[in-house]
Order: sequence, then structure tokens, then C-alpha cells
Amino acid sequence: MIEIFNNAILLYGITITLSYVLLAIISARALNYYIRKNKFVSHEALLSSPNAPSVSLIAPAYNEEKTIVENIRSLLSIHYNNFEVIIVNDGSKDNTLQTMIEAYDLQKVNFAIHQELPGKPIRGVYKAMNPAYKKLTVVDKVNGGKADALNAGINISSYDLITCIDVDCIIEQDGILRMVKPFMEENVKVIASGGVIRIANSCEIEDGKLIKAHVPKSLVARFQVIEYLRAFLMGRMGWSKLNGLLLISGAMGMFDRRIAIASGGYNHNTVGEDMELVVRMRRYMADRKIKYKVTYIPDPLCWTEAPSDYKILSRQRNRWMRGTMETLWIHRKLAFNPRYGLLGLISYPYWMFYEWLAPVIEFLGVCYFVFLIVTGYDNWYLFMVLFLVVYAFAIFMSFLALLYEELTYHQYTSKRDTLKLMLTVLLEPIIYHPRSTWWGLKGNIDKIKGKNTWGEMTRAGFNKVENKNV
Amino acid sequence: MESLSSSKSDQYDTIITFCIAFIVCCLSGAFITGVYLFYIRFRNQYYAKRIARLEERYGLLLTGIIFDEEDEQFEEKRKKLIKHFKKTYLRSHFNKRVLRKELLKLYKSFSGSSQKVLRDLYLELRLHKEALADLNSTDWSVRADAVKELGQIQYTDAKLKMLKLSSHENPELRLEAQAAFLALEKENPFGFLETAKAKITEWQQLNLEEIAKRIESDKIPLFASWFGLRNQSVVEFCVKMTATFNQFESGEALIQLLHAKDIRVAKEAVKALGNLFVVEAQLPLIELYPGSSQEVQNEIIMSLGKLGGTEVLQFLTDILYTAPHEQAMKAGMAIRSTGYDGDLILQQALQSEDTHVVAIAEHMLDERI
Repeated sequence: MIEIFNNAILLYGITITLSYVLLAIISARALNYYIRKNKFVSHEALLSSPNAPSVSLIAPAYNEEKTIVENIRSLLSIHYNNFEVIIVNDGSKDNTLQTMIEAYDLQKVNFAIHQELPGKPIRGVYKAMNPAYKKLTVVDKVNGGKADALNAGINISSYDLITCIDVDCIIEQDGILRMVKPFMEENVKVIASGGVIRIANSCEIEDGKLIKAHVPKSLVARFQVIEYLRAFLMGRMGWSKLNGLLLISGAMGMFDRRIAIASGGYNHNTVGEDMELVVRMRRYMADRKIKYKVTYIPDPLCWTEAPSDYKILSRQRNRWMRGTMETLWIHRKLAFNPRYGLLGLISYPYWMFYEWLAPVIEFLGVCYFVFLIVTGYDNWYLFMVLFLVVYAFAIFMSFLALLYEELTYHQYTSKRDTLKLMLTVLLEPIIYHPRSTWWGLKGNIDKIKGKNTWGEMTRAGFNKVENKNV
Repeated sequence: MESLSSSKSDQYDTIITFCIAFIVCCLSGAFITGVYLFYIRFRNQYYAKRIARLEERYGLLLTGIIFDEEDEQFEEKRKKLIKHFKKTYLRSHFNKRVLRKELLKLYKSFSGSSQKVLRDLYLELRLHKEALADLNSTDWSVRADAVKELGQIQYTDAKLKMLKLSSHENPELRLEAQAAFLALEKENPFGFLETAKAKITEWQQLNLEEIAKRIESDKIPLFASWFGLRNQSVVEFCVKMTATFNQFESGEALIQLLHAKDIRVAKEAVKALGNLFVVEAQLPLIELYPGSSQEVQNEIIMSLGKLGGTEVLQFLTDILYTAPHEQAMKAGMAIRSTGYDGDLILQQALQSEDTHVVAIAEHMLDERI
């Protein structure tokens, strides 16, 4: 029995290591090609083109009265010709709506609402009377959560492409054009496109624009910088190249509106609505045997504030784990199903084994080790060797992620920042990873217990202090 | 029993050896990666400084000669400058590359005779030879860079090479070559369309359209002459160009395209007919509507709104009352865009018993939206 357990753990370790290495290689090739091909693009000339596709930016807002005016101004200042900004006030308990009405001279209009996607009632649609803000539409609705708010925004939107974003994100000025590009250049239908999310803590921000990137002062946020670099530059880039991407971050993702509606929009019954929508859209296309692609842009398009204390981060990770479990459960039909090709045979099993079950298996490994000590097997030498294997591999992959960043976008220009990140890489497997595993495990336990809430997310704000209940 | 135990011990030793080797590899890999990262950082900083220094010098020398253009001794100064460049700066490949970039940068920021001075310098310093050599590189991005450079500097002798590259398998190189051909070929700038075999993606079309807008209007061809080409993406592009350049005489040819097998071509033809106000298209568009996809139907409604007319208004009103929400909204918009008569129809719709129709009419009549 013990022999079988040992071999299973060994096999798991080898396959996860190989998959990381393989993804890193594929990502490197894809990044190299992306960077080379995009150096020829002159975005300036195209930003004002009236023939570029129209895009609806949808941002839900809940209790954002302190920052909403600035956030909207930042969104309206994005460089692109054909876009509208739809802010969905999801039944805020504070003065979010009134603040917007006053700041942007909004009036309730007779908007013909057609609820193609079901959701909580809409109380009113507001348009700005000042022509300078004509791209702005505000939807006021009964509180129903993020998924519900996004669906309301999709119902109101009038363009073919929708971009769902977090209202407090800082979007790069040419971000929309960069995201639109895959929809226009691929030979098969692109149904969704995701962008890299970068961490804005400690960065220089002026008028809702990022001036200079810095490594966060807080160690917790710095751990997440490493984590995000690994996930976005080494993981998702590879998955995108394989056309096996299952997750587009909720902070910024662009979707084909028709396909999003046809596949049912955001699911209200999950806390992982971003991943669930992508999986459902993929399934919709696969069921109809329509060739499609989910693409991914490695450019740093969206900057967001990461949790800078363990308590808040633990809630976020707990939610992410529950969201993953819910999505995998809802779409369990995909598992090892050859009808869905890569989606069923590789992407889904990968998420199941290496995203959902990873903390569980890791925890079991620790329990097994304790069991061995209790039963008198105290081979500390073997333990140290195995620990060093994991540690060495982890830091090697993180250093590679730093190298990818240096060779591609080179956002952290100061040597001090780079050294800080390197030091963080050395600490991460010891300080951060065990906690992250625990949060994942806790997410599993909470899901089994039936927990279904988002949990409170408190953000310090880029410049001010804000409290956000989502 | 003993052999079993010794085999297990061997297995254990092998695992330990393998693990240690793995650890050493990973730690060395991490160390080398870290060192390489800083090496790249310093190397890039070193080159950036060198480039900045060279750019500054080149900038001073080149702008100096531009501002001496009116000087009596201009020719003498120019020759002296060329000699100086050849002697001091053109011995290293790196210096040449920086000079090419700086010269191009200045070329783009000047116009008229200053551009000519810079172009002559470029040719006399034989920098075009470098670019032409790059066209033979095995690396597509080096070739694309050279294509861009030759196009920007207006090196017309390279236009045949551009034409050849405009069908290259790499889409980025292809687009650069097509853009360069547009810049270099004065008589038939869109000639590459005739030979284009690969698909011109929407992205490429958008780029080409932006470049095309900068071409002298008398060099713009009649795009309808390419409506019969087999490459449907070329036809789609030509339809868009027909509307962009207001080629009203192509109305009949556009109507013919309404029944194109390629849905994108049909959709663009519908859109172009509306934008060009081809009134003769009213009936064909109405007839096309029932059998079309939703995307094309939406375009038909919007184009009909631009064309107007009694029959059209009746048709749009029917859609407003009977079609699903998306089309009904489009019909409302189209009716509104026809002006006074349309407004009357929407006013009447306010009295409808169908709340859905009333909501759309209210929406359309609300000036604030």
C-alpha cells in the first residue's frame, strides 16, 4: 500500500515538473514570436481609426463612492475610437450612484432594456448630458453580485466585442486595440482574449495612468508579483499557444458578445464566474463543432492592486479555489472526453490534478511524512533531499519567469527592484507557498461545507484608502 | 531476501543520486539565469548609452547639413560630411545600423527638400545596400525591418522585391511588404492585390486602409475592378475601399456582390451600399433580408436606414413590430436616422399595445441617448 502511495506521489511530482518545463518552453517560443511580430505594429495610427471594431467596456461597481469618479475618468481616457464605458452600479449601499450622477451630469433615460441574460431588475439607465462623456452609460440595478452585474452590462451593451474589467483597474492607454487585434488577425473565430494582469502596489500612478512600475514594498504583494509573472508569462502564454486556455482573469477579458450571450453569460451560482464563462464558451463552440480560439496577450495591459496582507489574500485564494472546484464540477462532462479534444483530454485534467488537487496532494504528502516520523521512520536525509528538489525547482522556475520579464517587457528597470524580486524568489517557497497551499486546502474544505460567498476584499487604494465589499 | 534488500538499497541510491543531480542542475540553472539576467541588463544599458551617444552625434551632423541647405557651400559641406561619415562611422555594422535608424527618424520628421537631402545622403552612404542585403536574411523580422526601411525612404528600385514579398507566407512580413509597395509604386499602388494569394486579415485590412488614406487621390484605383478576384479577403478589402474612397460609380457592382458566397463580402457590400447612398439598392436589400444571417440582417437594416424611402420605411416598421429585440432596435435606429418621416413612425409606435415596441420607440426618441 505504502509502495503504491510512494509511486503515485513520485509520478505526480514528475508529471507536474515536466508540465511546468514544457509550458515554459512553449511560452518562451510564443513570447518571442509575439514580441517580434508586434514591434512592426504602429498602434498610434490605428487608435483613431473609425473602422476598428467597436468595444463595450463593462465594469461593475459596488460601494465605490470614494474612487468611482477617478476610475471612470481613467476608463474614459483610454485611447480608442469606437468604445463605450458601461458602469454597473450593483445596488451599492453607499453613495456610488449619486456621486456618479453629480460628477458626470447623468440623467435617467428611456433605455429599451432587453434582458437576454437573466438577472436582478435594472432600476435605471443613465446617460451623461455633457457631450464630453457621451461614451459613458451607467446602469443602476438591484444587488446581485459581480456575475449578475456583468450580465446586466452585457444586456445593455450595443457592440460586438465586450471587455469585462474591474472598475479600479488601470488599463494601458492602447490596451483595447491590443486586445482587439487577435479578434481581427486570426484565421479562426476568436471567442475570447485575455490580458496580463500586473500588480500596481507601490507603482507611480498619476491621473489614473501608470507612470512607473516599482516592485511592491510589501513582501506579501511581492510574492504575488513573482506568482503573477510565472502564471502569466510562463503558464497562460503556453496554454494560449496550445489553444487550451481555460481562464481569462476577471480583472480584464474581452469576449465575443454573441457567443457570450449564446452560451448563457456569466453564471450567478459560482464564485469563479470568470473561469466558468470561458469554459462554457469553449464548450458551446466545441458542441457545435465550430473552430475557435481563446487568445492571450502577454503585454502588461491592466494594473491592479493586490492584497497586501495575508488575511485578505487568504480570502481571495480561498475563493479562487472554490471557483475552480465549482467550474470543474459544472463541466465535469469534459473530463477525459475525447469529443472535446485538447479541452477534455489535457486542459481539464491539468486543472483538475495540478490546480484543484495540488494543495490536497501536497497536504497528504505532509501528513504522510508526519505518519512516517510517528511510526519511527526518520530518514531526515531523504526528507532534506526531497525538500531541496522541490525548493531548487521552484526557484529555478521563478528565476526563469524573471528572465522572461527582463527579455520582454522589462517593467522593473531599477536594479534594486530586480534584486528585491530575486530575494523574494528565494523566500517564496518557504514563507509563501505553504500558506498558499493551506488556503487552497481551506478552499476545498469550505466548498465541501457549502460556503458560497465572495468574502470581504479590503483594498488600500492606489492613492487613497478604500473599502470594497464584493 | 538479501538480494531483494540490496536491490532496494540500489534503487534508493539511484533515486538519491538522481535527486542530487536534479538539485544541482536547478540551482545552477537559477544561478546562471540570475547572472544572465544582469548580464542582459548591463549589456542593454551599455548599448543604450552607445546608441544615445551616436544618435546625438548623428542628429547634430544631419540636422546641421539640413539647415545648411541654403548655404552657397552646401555641396562642399555635404561631400565633406559624407567623407566624414565614411571614415569615422561606417566601419562598424553597429554604427551603420544606428545611422540608418537615426536617418529614418529624421526623414519622417522633415518634409520637402530636407527629406530629399536626407534621402540623397542615405543613398550616397550606400545604406540602402545594407537594407537590400537584409532582405535576403533568413530571419523574417530582419527582412520586415528592411522592407519597412526601404518603403519609408522611398527607395523605388525595390518595388519589385516588395511585390514578391507581398505574398510571403509570414503575415507580418507580407503586411510590411504590402505597405511598402503602397508607398513605392506610384502608378498602380494596389497592384499587389491582383497577385495576393494569402488571406488579407481584418487587421491587415485596417492597416492597409490607414496607409491608403495617405496616397494621393488621383492614384487611387477603381476598386470594383477587383471584385471578381478569387481571393475573397481581397474582394472584402476592395469593397471597404470602395466605400472609404466614395467610389459612387461602383454601386451596380456592389449590388452584384450582395449574393456573394462569402458572408463577409456580402456584409461589407451591404454596408458600402448604405454608406454610398446607392438608392437602387433598396429593393435588392429588402429581398436579401429574409434569407440572410443575423449579422447581415443587422447591416441591411442599418443601410436601409441610410437609404430611406417609403418602401424602406414600411419594411423597417414591419421589422420594428415583428422582429426579435436586436433587429427591432436596429430598425428603430434606422427609422430614426431617416428624419422627419421616421420620427412620425416612432411617435405612432408610442401608441402601440406592444410594450416592447413602445420601449424601443421611447428609447429612439430620447434625445439624451
